[in-house]
Amino acid sequence: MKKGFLVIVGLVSLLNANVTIKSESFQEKKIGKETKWIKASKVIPGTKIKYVNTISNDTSNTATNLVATNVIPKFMTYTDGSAKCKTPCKVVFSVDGGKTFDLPNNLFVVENGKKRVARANEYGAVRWTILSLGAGQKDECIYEAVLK
Amino acid sequence: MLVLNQILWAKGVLAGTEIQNSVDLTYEIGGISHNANSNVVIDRVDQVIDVQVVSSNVSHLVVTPGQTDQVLTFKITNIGNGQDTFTLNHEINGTNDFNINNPRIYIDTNNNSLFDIAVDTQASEITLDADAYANLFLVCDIPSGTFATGDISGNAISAASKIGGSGIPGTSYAGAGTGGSWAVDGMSGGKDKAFGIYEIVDLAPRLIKSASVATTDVFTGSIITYTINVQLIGTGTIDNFIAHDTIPAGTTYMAGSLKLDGNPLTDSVDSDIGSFDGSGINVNFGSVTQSVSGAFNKSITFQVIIN
Repeated sequence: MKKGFLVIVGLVSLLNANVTIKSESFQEKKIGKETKWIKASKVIPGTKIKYVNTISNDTSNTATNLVATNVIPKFMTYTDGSAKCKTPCKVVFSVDGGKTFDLPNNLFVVENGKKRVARANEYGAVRWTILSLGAGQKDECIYEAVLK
Repeated sequence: MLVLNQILWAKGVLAGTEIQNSVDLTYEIGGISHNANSNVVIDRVDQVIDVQVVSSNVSHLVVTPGQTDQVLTFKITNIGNGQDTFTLNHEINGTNDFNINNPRIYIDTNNNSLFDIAVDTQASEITLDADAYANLFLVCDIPSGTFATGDISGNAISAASKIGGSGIPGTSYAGAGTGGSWAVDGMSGGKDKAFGIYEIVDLAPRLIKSASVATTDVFTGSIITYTINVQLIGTGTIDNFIAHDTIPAGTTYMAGSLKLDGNPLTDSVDSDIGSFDGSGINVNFGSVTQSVSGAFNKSITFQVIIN
């Protein structure tokens, strides 16, 4: 009876997997000849902010098909080519408010009645897909944007 | 203290605005789907202190010695991203031929770009919302005395932020911005100035043109009445003095509408001094001698219809 209880507790622990995601913002600061990213604290129009979303797999199991979706904040303009992960991942974007996502060449907008490929500064959301994250491991989903 | 909030253009996100970022996560463990939400990162927009002062005077303002209340016009714009109060001062050019008396600064309270001492407000500072602007008038008296024609006097209105205004871009002020935010002097250093110029003449014409429409809305068929006030500033004689004004594009001159001081002038070149030459109106005053500045003061009116 006691052995069976332990098995159930272990199963519940498995099901209550604890994968977390934490978002932080950083801005550039020139220190001597170097430019470093520091915690964002003095933000004015034109400031470039790097958002770092850290995923932590605190479970004892491998997490798979991790999909992180980040709506780009109002008043911020996405910086072309800045979205990435620490490990290989797939990055797609949305130009319809996060309803659909696709690769840059497949994103279109209509301007003056004509359809054209969307520019990076028109992206409204970014999505990263990581195939797997091992137990106890972390990864980062990163993008940069400029305050209008 | 006057607060104006005429929006001219948006230039950067307003100080105090919260920028919020968060991210959603879905994943699978053992074939079972899960999701998680991040914290919300909030960055509050800080204040950039910037101001622009420009001269609205298209040319030197011709004046004669002893004239009072001579008006130079300027425009001040808060090009920062938060409300700011700017101290206003008069400054002179160090190489002036002469210096003016009794400088005063007025705010164009009714925003009509015309100085009206009974309406506009004399001020030593102005508060402007982000991206708001106001017209300013520098009103001066020209000293009596002997001057040469062509003598000039450069006079500026300077504006400096009361939050910052160091003159050095990048100078920062902890807690001094909107809502206690961090503030920093922008490209202007939080201060700016612009010069206008008074120029002494013996005798020169001054023409002031205005327009009026009888109806509230302007549309095809509307009639515009133009009034040109013609003055001579200074003393002496001027020859071949002809006032000419070209009819604006998109309008047609209304035959027989030309008047001088309310009295009709014919459109053809004949015994009276007025005419219409197909492209504009002319009033030929010929040779005029003036012994008291401003004594010659005429009003020309004519009408056009919008095509």
